[in-house]
Amino acid sequence: MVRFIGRRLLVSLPVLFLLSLLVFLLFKLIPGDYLSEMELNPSVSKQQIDDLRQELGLDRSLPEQYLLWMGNLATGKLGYSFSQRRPAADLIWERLRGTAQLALGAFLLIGLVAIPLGVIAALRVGSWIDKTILWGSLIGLSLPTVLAAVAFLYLAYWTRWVPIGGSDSFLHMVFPTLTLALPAASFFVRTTRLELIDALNQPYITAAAAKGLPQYRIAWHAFRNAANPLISLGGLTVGGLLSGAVIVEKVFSWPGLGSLTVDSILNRDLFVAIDCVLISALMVILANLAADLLMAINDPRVRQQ
Amino acid sequence: MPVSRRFLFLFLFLSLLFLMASCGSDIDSSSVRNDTNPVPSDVRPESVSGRFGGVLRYPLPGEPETFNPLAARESRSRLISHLTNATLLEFDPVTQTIQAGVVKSYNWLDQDQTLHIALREGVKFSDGVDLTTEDVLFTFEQIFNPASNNVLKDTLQIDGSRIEVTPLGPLEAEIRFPKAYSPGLYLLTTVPLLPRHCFEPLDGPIEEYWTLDTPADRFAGLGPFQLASHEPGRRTTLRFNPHYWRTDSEGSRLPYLDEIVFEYIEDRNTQILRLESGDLDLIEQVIRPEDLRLLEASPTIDTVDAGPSANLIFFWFNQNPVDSADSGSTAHQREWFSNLKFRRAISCLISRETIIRNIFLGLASEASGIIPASNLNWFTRELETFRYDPERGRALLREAGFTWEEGGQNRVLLDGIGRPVEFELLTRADEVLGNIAAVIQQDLAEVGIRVSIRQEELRAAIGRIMGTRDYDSALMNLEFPTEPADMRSVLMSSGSMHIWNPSQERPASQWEGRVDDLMRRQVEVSDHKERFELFREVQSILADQVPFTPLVNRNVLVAKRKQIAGLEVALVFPYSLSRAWQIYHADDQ
Amino acid sequence: MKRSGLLFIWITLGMVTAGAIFAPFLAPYQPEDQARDFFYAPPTAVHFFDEQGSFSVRPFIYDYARISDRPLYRATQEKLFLEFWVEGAEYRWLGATWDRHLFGVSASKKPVFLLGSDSLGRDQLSRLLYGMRFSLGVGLAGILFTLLVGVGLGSLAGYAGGIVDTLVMRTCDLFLSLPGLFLVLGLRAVVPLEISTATTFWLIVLIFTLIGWGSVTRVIRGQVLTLKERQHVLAAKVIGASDWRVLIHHILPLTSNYLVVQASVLLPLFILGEITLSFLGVGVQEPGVSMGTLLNTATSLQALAQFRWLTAPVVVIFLTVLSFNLLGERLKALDRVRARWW
Repeated sequence: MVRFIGRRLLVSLPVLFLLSLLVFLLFKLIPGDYLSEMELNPSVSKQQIDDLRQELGLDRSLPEQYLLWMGNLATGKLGYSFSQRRPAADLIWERLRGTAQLALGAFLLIGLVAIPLGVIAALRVGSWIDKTILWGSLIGLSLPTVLAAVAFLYLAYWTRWVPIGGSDSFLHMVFPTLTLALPAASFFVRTTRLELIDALNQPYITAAAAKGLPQYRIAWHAFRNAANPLISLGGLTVGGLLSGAVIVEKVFSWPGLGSLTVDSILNRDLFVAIDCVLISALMVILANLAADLLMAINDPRVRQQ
Repeated sequence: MPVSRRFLFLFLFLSLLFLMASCGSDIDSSSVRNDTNPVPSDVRPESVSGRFGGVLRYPLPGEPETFNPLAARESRSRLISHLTNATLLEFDPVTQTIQAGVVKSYNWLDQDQTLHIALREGVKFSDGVDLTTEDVLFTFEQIFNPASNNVLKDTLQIDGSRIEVTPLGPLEAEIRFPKAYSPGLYLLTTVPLLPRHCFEPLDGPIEEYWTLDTPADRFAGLGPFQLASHEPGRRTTLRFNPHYWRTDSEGSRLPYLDEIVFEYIEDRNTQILRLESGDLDLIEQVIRPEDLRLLEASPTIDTVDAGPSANLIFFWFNQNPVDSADSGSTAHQREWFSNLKFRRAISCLISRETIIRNIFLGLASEASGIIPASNLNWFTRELETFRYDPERGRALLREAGFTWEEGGQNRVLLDGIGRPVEFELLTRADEVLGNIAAVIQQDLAEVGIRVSIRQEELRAAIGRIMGTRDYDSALMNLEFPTEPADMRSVLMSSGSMHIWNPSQERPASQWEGRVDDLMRRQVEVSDHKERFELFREVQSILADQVPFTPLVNRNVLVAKRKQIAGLEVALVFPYSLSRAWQIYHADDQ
Repeated sequence: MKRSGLLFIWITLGMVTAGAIFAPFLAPYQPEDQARDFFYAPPTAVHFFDEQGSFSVRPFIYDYARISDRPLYRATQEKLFLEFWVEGAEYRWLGATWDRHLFGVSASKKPVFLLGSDSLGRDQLSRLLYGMRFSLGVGLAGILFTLLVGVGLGSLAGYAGGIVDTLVMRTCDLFLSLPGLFLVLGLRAVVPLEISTATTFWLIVLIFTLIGWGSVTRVIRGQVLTLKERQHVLAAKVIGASDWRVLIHHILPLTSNYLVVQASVLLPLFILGEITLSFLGVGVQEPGVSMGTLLNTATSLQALAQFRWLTAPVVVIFLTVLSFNLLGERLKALDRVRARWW
């Protein structure tokens, strides 16, 4: 087990390295850098910009700049933020919490609402409940996140149920989480339903039913068999949630990693941008690893492999 | 079932986590302020009267980069610095005049070179420590520290020599300029006074202090407010300064407000909705004209259109000399661009009216030059400009030797040797500028000029304009300074911000040489009238030569809840927070 | 979701596709044409009956005029008849130049805005049609390239094995471990926004391909790995068919079911992706138009409160994505029972 985890993480190291190199090179391809904005600010002199460029290391050669970041990586500071003049690690840590809260909330919704809905639909295939759930999830899947976010924003304004944007209390979290979870949860509802219907049609379920097992135990048996695709989907969902968080954080002014990533890329805050992309990639890798482990725990056949 | 129990625990644990995250802090505000600190003795009361207490919630589109006034380069940091610090002399944005502020008196000892200042007695920093000339000296020492790279380092040096401060006692000092310098007093209005005791023992350059993660108790300032807390990505709270020196007409210590809370909200829909629902008190600057028009109908909101700001939207052609790496087409394009009649013609062809009426819904003003009508000191009314007049534009093109190709649905404009006139318009990725670019595109298409729009991210666009310089024409907006001395980098041919052809070794044209000369002379003459005349000539040369085409100034727009009273909206930075000490909450209903 | 569902899918998709393909003809104006005096004009009502109740076979509109500097309009009594197959702005379509449009009012310079106009007096219907054309085009081209790259590299890796396999699959991991949007942002922020909408088009296609190819490659490789051990493949090899022939004739046809389903799953994702790009300000720029730029205007406060007609794209986008999702579901279900999908 430990060897398995270790090997997977080791394999992902070159991926992360290449990724950082890719982002770095992409950044350097076009004219302008973080300090360019000041070049159109009459109160900042050319001399000052040159000094700042030297201070931030932006005047050095490309390999040197990259090594600078690598060196900072080793100290755990992850480089520094050009805009806020402090270690990038501090900045990212502040924001990571916000996104983690949203993502956790979204997973809770998936676990506590989406999967049960899928199970209910599967157990009542063809009924009006099934149809309602199916159509509801289809609509959730077809709504652009931008649109859903703005719709929830207006809903908050008209109903005054929850505060409009911000991040101070549990109530603030409701609509951002809903928006973020909507497409993923809809997908989960549909996948759960399909997988469970499949499982329920297996011969061993028919056998169990013939033996007279109570319905909830049959459903449980079928669910454990249908669970692996769901776990694997859960791992894949993390990437989608991180992408969705960008929009949700912007619309609801929720301080998180997503908006930091966009801002750092648009502001050309080099090191923060590389860090953000790397951390997001790392989270996706870890989520997939966790999903694989969970599948092994759930299913002895997977463990064999 | 054990599995479901495990899930239940997990659920409970997670909900607990959320609840813990949700504990906010509420500050109860009392309407009477318990004020035991003595008011400075020789202060003239302001003629204002309002109510004490209350919070002003104000949205900013993003976090400031720093709380250090000597590192503040963008407007958000500058705004917070403005509220938490005081400058040596004060520039009052409302009247656009220089005021004494924390200085009781200032006199020139000899003409424009040595200034004697006397500080007010009893002025204290927000932590209760007296302001002395030692703090003034400390501030100047830090600004001119060779290891430091602060905002004022260059602007406070005159021809490479620094300003000297000599304390004559705890409250008196002499400030000596290296030579007679007419914008000298104005320069002193940009120097924030830093509390020496907060930085001792000083280790490293000053701009490394007072960052976003410095604890609030390390700050002290002379402004009406002091930093109370900063929640990263969420908000920054300023509390009233219990030692602020200004008093109201009854002699009570200002400011009226208990707190100003800057909420970091990027989405403009969210800002407007929160203002309407009472979650925010005041929005300005970032507000879109169409939103202001929308809010005009709201019963709880007051809207203010104060008039043109110093934010100019302008258009210019690339007049950098062609170098060997450029292609042949670039060379002949630059020929058109350096043709005075061509530039004048283009200026006559762009409809400012459409921009103001359609894009700004009437909430912008036509610009005549680099100085907006709202600049009370330097605006010149009678400038000869090339306003929108398509007939004149066509005539100018004809005079310059351009002709029209006959036939076809669209008549193509050709230059003297038959090449079709087309160029690229570079602008930044912004909705408003994109729309203005579309207006220019259509206007010029009317006379057969093909313009293709190229929108880039702000920094990439500037990198192209200032760095690689491979563009044809550009459309930008810029907040211009109010003082001509600050515009030297833009107007002088050697200036790094001489956008159409920066950092020239010697003036590329005769008129640029003339402008250089005028700009040099106008910082040397001390008589304001004479200075005004010199700068007026600069403005008329610019209007005549059209190196850039000023289009419109955005208006200063403010939307506030009706309860917020006492504010005076200035047409220059920091707009409605110019006199933040006199803003108050009227009766809450 | 029986017959009615299927009908809904085909009607919506048919209309959307036809709208996109025939956009230049259906749109009365070019998307960037400005009728500046008619800014924020509400939708023009088309009439068959006049006030007296008399019927006219030819539909007509009432002329209208702006009554202040603000976008306020009043209809006049004057009737303007709609004309069909009318001469208008030139456009290129199918390699030829055309100047006919489905309808318009040619008699005067008065505009007809069936879906209203925006701040510069640009016709929203025309913009919607051209926007759909762009977004759908980007989506389809994105799918085409995604599948091409995925099938190419996937079959290469699966069939060749060894070092090639490892190399391709590790690159695959690199792209799959990146959250899609971050790749977009990274690329989009650094590739300068080009002058023409056409260049932006290919740029977005490139981005979509980079995001999508990984998962397709992985699945195709897996399928090829199993398929190449099948009896009929081995038989083909025994009789001396070249590797190329085996791959093209005996292996790849069997992956077509998966490809069709994958295409229908990816298309709505790509349409939504373009919308996200525009929201973040890194999508199509002026004077180009796409569903994303239209949606940006549609979600602003003023569209909702004042100029409601600007929200029309919301409905169109939602219905389009919904029908594509429905289609995808259906294909998936059919794929399970290995049925033909038409």
